[in-house]
Amino acid sequence: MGGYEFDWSVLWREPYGGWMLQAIFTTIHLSLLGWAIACVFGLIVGTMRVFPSRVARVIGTAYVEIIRNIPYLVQLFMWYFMVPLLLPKNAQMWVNANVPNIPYWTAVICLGVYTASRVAEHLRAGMHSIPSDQYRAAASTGLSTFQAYRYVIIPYGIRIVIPPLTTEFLTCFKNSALAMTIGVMETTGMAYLIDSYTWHGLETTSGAMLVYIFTTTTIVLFMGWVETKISIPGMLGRVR
Amino acid sequence: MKVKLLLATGLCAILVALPLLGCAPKKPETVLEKIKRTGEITIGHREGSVPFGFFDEAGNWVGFSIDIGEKLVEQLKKDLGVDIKYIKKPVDPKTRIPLVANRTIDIVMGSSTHTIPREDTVDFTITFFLTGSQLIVPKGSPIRDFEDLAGKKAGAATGSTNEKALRDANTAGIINPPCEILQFAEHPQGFLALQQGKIDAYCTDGSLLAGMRQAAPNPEDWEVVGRLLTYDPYGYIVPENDSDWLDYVNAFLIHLIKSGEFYQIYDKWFGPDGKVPLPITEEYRTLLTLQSWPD
Repeated sequence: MGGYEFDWSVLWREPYGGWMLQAIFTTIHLSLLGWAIACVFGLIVGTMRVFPSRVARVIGTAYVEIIRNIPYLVQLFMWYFMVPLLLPKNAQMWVNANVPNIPYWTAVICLGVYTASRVAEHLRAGMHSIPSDQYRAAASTGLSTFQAYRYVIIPYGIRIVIPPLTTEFLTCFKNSALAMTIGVMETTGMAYLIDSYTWHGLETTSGAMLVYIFTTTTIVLFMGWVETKISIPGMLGRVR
Repeated sequence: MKVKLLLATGLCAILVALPLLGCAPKKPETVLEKIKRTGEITIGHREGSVPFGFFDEAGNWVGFSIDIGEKLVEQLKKDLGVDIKYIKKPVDPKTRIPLVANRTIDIVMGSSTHTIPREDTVDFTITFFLTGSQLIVPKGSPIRDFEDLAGKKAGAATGSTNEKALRDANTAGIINPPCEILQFAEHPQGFLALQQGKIDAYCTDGSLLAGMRQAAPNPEDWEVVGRLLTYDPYGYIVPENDSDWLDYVNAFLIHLIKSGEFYQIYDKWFGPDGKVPLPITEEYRTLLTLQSWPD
């Protein structure tokens, strides 16, 4: 690029270095909190989708089909600007006046709820892949439906879906970048912010790229470790 | 066989020689030379910056800076004596620098604040518009100036000079205790948040606030308050180190100001019947006069 002079120091010189560091932490705890919500919700919803109870299945399916089919970017806008309108006027005013950092918490909830719908689908697929003999075998040993899921189906199902869940975890991390559209200063948002202060966007964006590559690689290694750690001898998958 | 060998050798020779040809020391072509050679000028305009560059009700791309752009093309036709095709390209705050730096765009005529760090990668023309950070609040709000933001929530566009102004006012103790700054990707979102009570005030350039208020369903429900916390001089952006082109555009702007045509265009957009009624301030008029170097 003729005319463009690279100045990599925007990544570490004050005050930008400190801001960038803060933003990296925001990306990390935003994604981890979102992922925690996604795992809990995803497990509940995913199980509901394969549960014998019809009501549970309908609720689970409705959740997945509604949440999964609305783009995450649109949902961020929805959670930030539209969902609060459902609250009574007084509650809205209370929240606006008393909750600090509303954009951040909106992003955490939205990321968690959205990723949950995808996690739920992976879990459902995993549990569907367990032969029906296992259900019957569990029932024949006198386990209740709940116990059969708790002790047999879910433990097997989770192990099968670890590879797709790893992908989902990575997506969760990368989706956190969209939180900047509602003003959360995570890594990408900060890269753009420093860009608009210094007009050195190529450097800041490259920095953000490295941050994502580093964190996602860490996740991949971690999930690989989890996979070997919890693997059941005799099952398919990564073995130590 | 021999023919093949000959061909291969020839090809290799060409491949080796090509980069060498490119190495020949050559003065880079100036924008003016390029416009003359290609008969085209590419100008970057904003699409959502009322009234500098935006889409009107009929869907036409119009605005203050677009009118100036048309004048510039007319002037170029006269001075270069060739017909020039006027290519309009949309730019936003993210793309305007890279596109000028890599010479895809010859000049950005939008609404960009001229700052010292921005001078690192591009050059700016003389100031064509002067505004500064102000606040828009609901009618009757206790917030009258920046000091009143203490402990409240204020919104601003991410990375704007206004957001920086708020941040600086917090650190400097002008707003004490500091206000919480909520960032928004676009002005309409910030205004929506203000309507919903998510923020107590929204901060951007006074000129844009006037446009925002004008576009609101009930303009009377809102008021623009506060002194100019910062001065935001707007300039047009041209590629770095092409002083022929920069001088040309500056001279063009100065002649436009001196001939009074500039004020006609200003009135069209900012006059009492314009899109954004905004009387020209004393400081702004003085600045325009003072930077109009003699002929």
